[in-house]
Parts: sequence; structure tokens; C-alpha cells
Amino acid sequence: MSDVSREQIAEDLKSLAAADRVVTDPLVLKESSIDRFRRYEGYHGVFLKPFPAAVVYVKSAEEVSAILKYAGAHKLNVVPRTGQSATEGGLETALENSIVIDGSRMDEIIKIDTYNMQATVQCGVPLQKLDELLREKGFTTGHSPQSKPLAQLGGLTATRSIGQFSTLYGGIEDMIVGLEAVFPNGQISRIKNVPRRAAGPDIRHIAIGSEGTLCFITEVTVKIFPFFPDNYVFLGYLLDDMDTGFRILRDVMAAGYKPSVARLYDGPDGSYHFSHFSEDKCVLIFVAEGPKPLADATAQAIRDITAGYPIYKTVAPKLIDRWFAQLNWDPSNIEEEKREIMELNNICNTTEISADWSTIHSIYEVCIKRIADEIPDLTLLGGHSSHSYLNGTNLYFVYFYNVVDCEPQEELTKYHLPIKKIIVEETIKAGGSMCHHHGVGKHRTAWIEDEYGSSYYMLKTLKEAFDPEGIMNMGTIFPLED
Amino acid sequence: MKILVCFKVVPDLDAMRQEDWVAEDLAVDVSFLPREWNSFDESALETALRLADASGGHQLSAVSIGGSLLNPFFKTLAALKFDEVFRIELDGDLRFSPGRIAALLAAFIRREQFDVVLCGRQSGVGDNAQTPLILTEMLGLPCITQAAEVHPAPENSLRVISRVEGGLLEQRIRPPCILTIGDTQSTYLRIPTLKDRMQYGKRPVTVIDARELEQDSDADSDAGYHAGLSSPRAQPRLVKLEPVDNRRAGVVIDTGTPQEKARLLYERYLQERLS
Repeated sequence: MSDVSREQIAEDLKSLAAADRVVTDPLVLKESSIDRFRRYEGYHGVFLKPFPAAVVYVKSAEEVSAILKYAGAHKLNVVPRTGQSATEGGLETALENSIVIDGSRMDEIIKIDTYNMQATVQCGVPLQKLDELLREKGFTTGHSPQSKPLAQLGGLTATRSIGQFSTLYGGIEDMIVGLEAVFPNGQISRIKNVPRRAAGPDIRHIAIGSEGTLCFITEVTVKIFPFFPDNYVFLGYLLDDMDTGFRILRDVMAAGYKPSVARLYDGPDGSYHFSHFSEDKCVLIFVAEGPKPLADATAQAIRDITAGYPIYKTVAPKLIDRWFAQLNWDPSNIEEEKREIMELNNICNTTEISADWSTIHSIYEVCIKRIADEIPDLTLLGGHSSHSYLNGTNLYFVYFYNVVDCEPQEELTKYHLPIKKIIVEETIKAGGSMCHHHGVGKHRTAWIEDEYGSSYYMLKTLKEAFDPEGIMNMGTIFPLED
Repeated sequence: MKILVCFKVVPDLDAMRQEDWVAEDLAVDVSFLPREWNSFDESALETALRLADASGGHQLSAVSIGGSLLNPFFKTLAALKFDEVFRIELDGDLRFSPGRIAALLAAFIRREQFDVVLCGRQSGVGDNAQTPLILTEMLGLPCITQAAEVHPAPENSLRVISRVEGGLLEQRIRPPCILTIGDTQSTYLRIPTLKDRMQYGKRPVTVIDARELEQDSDADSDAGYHAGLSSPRAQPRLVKLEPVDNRRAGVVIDTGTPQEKARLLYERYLQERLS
């Protein structure tokens, strides 16, 4: 329990960061108590989480260090954030008088090094800004999550994000070369930028995916790649069933090919995205890119592999090309979604998991069946695989439902959380992972020990070692103790 | 009351790139674009459902003109418990043919005898805003335009609220009539549940050959006049496509504290407009 009042916290923070960067506006505090996980409640003006004492817009690692030391001394919970596009409750302020540390104003692109193929940026640099700048120079980060127009590099790293072109470029963990992070005791640590090293464990992974529970990431260096937009080859197929799609994906990956995009949609999700051509079939999409000989060879190999399977129909490449251009979400999409939700009382939520090739299809089938049988008021239930690996793939369950006969604050407990529970439990039971790329946030913590099994010891020890006072984004990844 | 909603499914032009608009003979290809409800027609469909919610005993129908690409949209309407859905089978470019569309609809409506016909006021593609008005003329029915709300009223009539310049106009009308739907408060069509999709969504679409309706149309007593409206010679011809620069001038206030920026914004740009 903290020994200082919210007013005192705000005053004290003004001595640690410039006064005009310590915000106590009630509206800001209210909206900073949740993220997109509780957007239905938020749109209806229902805010049930404790409001933070202040939001501090930091400008340097030193400021972050001072604030964390202060928070530790007074046992105040700290919620780190940058672009605020989190979807799993990671930005909810679970405890009274939290301090939200916002890194979005640390937005300097420090260095673009095209010889060593890496770019160093502060945590608040928007990914889209960095990627557009790189593309002007003929390079790309290779990272393109749907949140690209909103997300910033610090948050992307902290949530272990992944983008649509991951099958070629990898997830953020494959892109981060080095970083700077500030720990709860005020320690500022820099991990140098080297191609590889075998000098002990890879400590980048203490920060990557930590979701603000171990440290505040202030700077990252990411790999950059040559950009070949003219060499893209788009391939699309309609299939009768998901099993065929999973087998094709598996064969492409196991054969060693690296399309940048490999996506498989089931009938309902496919109809939602591709109503103009999907004919209620499963939709399989590939994009091959890179140097032209490589892109062409990859595309041809995919054509050869798919030729060995029953394909209902081949899709014109232009249909795939134009669809991709509309995929990412910017603020206007968020605003439009809000209008639709408020008018229709219909909302979309998702849960993403991963598993090996042997089990992914059975997880898909059992989850779809159970959700359809057990959850009321669904208007769409489907899923897609969007990130594939040598040994398996992910599944992104997508579900829309009408919110019927309940208060805004009951929407999660009536619909989203029971659906998530089915997906998470069935996935863990089958040996898969309950989180593929959104992070654990605050609403999958009940299963974190099941997720890790005996290796939970290692995860828990990290928390105990780096955050002994328990001030870093409490309730995220690790469940709050009663 | 037998209520019919005439709707159109349109390509999502937001998905077009600049280069997609450049085409030989102005034959812009939109076949690769996702399809969506024409927004005013979407409002008309929701308005019909709300009318049915408010008072029972109505029979709801919907009709559109086109090919099998429309089928997913008909499935949605069936799942929303529209009693009958009709597709007038006709492939071809009707974007600039409001007269021909109206003639087909008029022949269909005469055949099926509806009390109330709801149409979106215009479509974003072609942007003619003529079809409902030509239809009105062909059917010789009273019409209220720019309807924003439609409510049941005593004596089998309807209370229609329209947006007019400076306010709202409330009228009562006794069917048969045509209502064109303009800017409504509810712009989205409700979404059917999966259970309703399974239970009702597979109901068949009644497909009508456009040629049959055109024969009916020829037998119309005002056929000569109507044929003039719907003849190819009456159709506008696309002669030019030109991009419109939608950018607006802007000023970035990039100096000072947030308070100073807010003051500058107020003093330089807002004060005069607000006074």
C-alpha cells in the first residue's frame, strides 16, 4: 500500500519530469485506466478500473529511471505504454494510484545505418513513420502488424509483436538487434548491437515480450531489409476445407520456402474479408517477395506444391493485392468501429494461439464447435492462420457477437472471456501456446502457470529478481495475488 | 402492409488506387473490389426492419438487380427474417442507367403489388440520385424524399420524418407510396446471429429474368414515355474521369507549450468562427 496521496504523487512527479508533461486531467486519467480490451465499456462511459494518479510523458531514460526509483520507494504501480494499441488489458491500471509512464514523446529516429542494415530509434517512434522513411531510402523494417499506423517501437517490442510479413522477416524478436531498458531499481541497461553472440543467455528476451512487467524499454535497434515492392507475387486459392490448407502451409514451410505472407482463412472469416470472391470457401493466400529471382522461385514452388492438392479455384492476384492495401488499422478505422459498435451493439474480439502441425487442425475444430454450442448471440465465428513456421502455425480466432440483455460492464464476462477460456484451455490441453502475438495482458494470467508448466519457475524468478517491490504493470502476465 | 426495399450492392471504391482509375475507354475495372451495401440502401433496409419491429403484420421483401455476387447479401437479409428476397437477373453495367433500373423495378412492383417501397436516395456509384424518382413517376405513386424515420401511424398510414433545410418535416402518408431514405440516425444494418443464419439464411432467392420484366414493361400503358426514359439513348454516357484534389490547406502549430498552442489555435482560427 502506498504512503502518498494521488495529489502528492502528481506533485512529486513534476520534480522528476517537466511539470507540463505530468498530466492529471480527469478525462486523460479515466481513458488511461483501460485499453482496447475494455473498449465496449469505455465507449459506453463505464470505467471501473482505478484511475491512475498521473500520466507522465517522459523524454529520457534518466527521467524513467528517476520515476521508477520513486515508484519503488513508495510501492506505486507503474504502467508503461507508447502507442496505446494494446488489446489484452496490458495497459489497464489494476491498482490504485498507478503511474502511467508514456514514452510516445521519446520519438527520435537516432540512426539509420544502411551499411550495417540496422536502425536505432527511441521507444516512441511510430513504426509507420520509421518504415515510410526507410522505404524512401529503399529499405523496410519488414514489420507490418495491423496496428502499424498506431503502434510505436517500444510497445511493439514489449508485447513481442508480429507482422503480416513474418514468415519471411520473423517476429519482432527476430528483428531486435539491441536495446536500452530501465529497470525498477533505476538501472539503465544497454544491450549492444552485434550480429550474434554466445556469451551467455540472450538477455534481449528479458525485455522483449515482458509487457512492462520487468522494465521500461526506451530505445531499440532493429534490422532493416532491402525493399523490393516491384517484385511482389500474390497467390490466392479457394479450398474446400481447412485441413487441406494447413497441409499446404505445412508443406511450403517444411520444404524450406519463405513466402513473406502465408495466410489461411476458414469459410466464415474468409467471407468476412473476401465476400467478393470467396464463395464461402476457405481462402489461402501467399505473397512471395525479395530479390526477383528469389520471389519468382518461391512463388513457383508454392504453385507446384498447391498443384498436388485439391484446389477449388485459383484467385486473381489483383484481388489479393488490393485487399492487403486495406488491412491495417489507422485512427479512422478505430473511429468507424466505435460508431458501428455503438449503433449495432455488435463487437468483434479475437484470441490468437499457436500449435504444431499435428494438432492445429483439431484445436481449430474443437474450439469452433464448443464456442458455437456454448456462447449465445454470435454473429460470426471463424479463424485464420496468419503466421507459419517450420514446426507449426498460429490460429487467430475471430468472433463477433451482439451484446444482448446485459450492462456494458457485463459484455466481457458474458461473451469475450468465456470464449477466450474455451480457446485457451483447449489449446493448452493440446500442447499449444495460449498466446501467439497479442501478449498475455491481464486476462490470460489465470492460465500462465499451465502455459509454462515446470518452466514457470524461470519466468517467476525473472519477476522476483527484477521487480522485487512489485511495481511493474502488476496483474499483467503474472496474476495479482488476492 | 407489403413492404419492399430496393437495394444495390456497390464496390468499395475506397480500395481503389490512383492508378486503378486510369483505364482505356474509361472502362474502369472495379471487379476486384470488395462489395458492400450502398449506404442509403443499408439505411432503407434497417428502416424497414424497425418499422416491422414497431408494428406487426408486415410482410418484408427486398429486391436487387445483378448476378450471383449478390447472393451473400440476400442470405443476410433472409437471416434477418425478410419474408421474401428477389434478384432480378441481369449482368451488365447499370451504373449510369437509372431509367432502365427504374423500368425493371416498376414492372416487378406492378407484378408483386407492394404497399410501401423504400429506396435509398442515391448510390455512391454513378451518383445519379434519379432511380427512385423515375420509379415514382413510372408507378404514379406519391413519394416522400429524404426520409430519416418511418413510423407506423393510425388508419394504416405512416408517419414519415424527413430532413429539410433548417429542420425536420413530419408528414403522414397512406400507402401505396414510395419513400426515399436519406440521412438516417441509424446508418448500419443490424447483424443476424449465426443461429438465425442457419435457420433462415438458406431460404432461396427468387430469381427473375430481367427480360420477362422488360416484356411486362413494354405492355405498360405509358410504355412509349417510359421506354424513352429507359432507352439506351436516354442514358448518360461517361466521357471523362478526373481526379479531385481533396486536400485542404492546413497550418501546423509546432512551437510553445500545449497551453500556448491552444491559445494560438483559439486566437488565430477559432475565435472568429465561434463569435
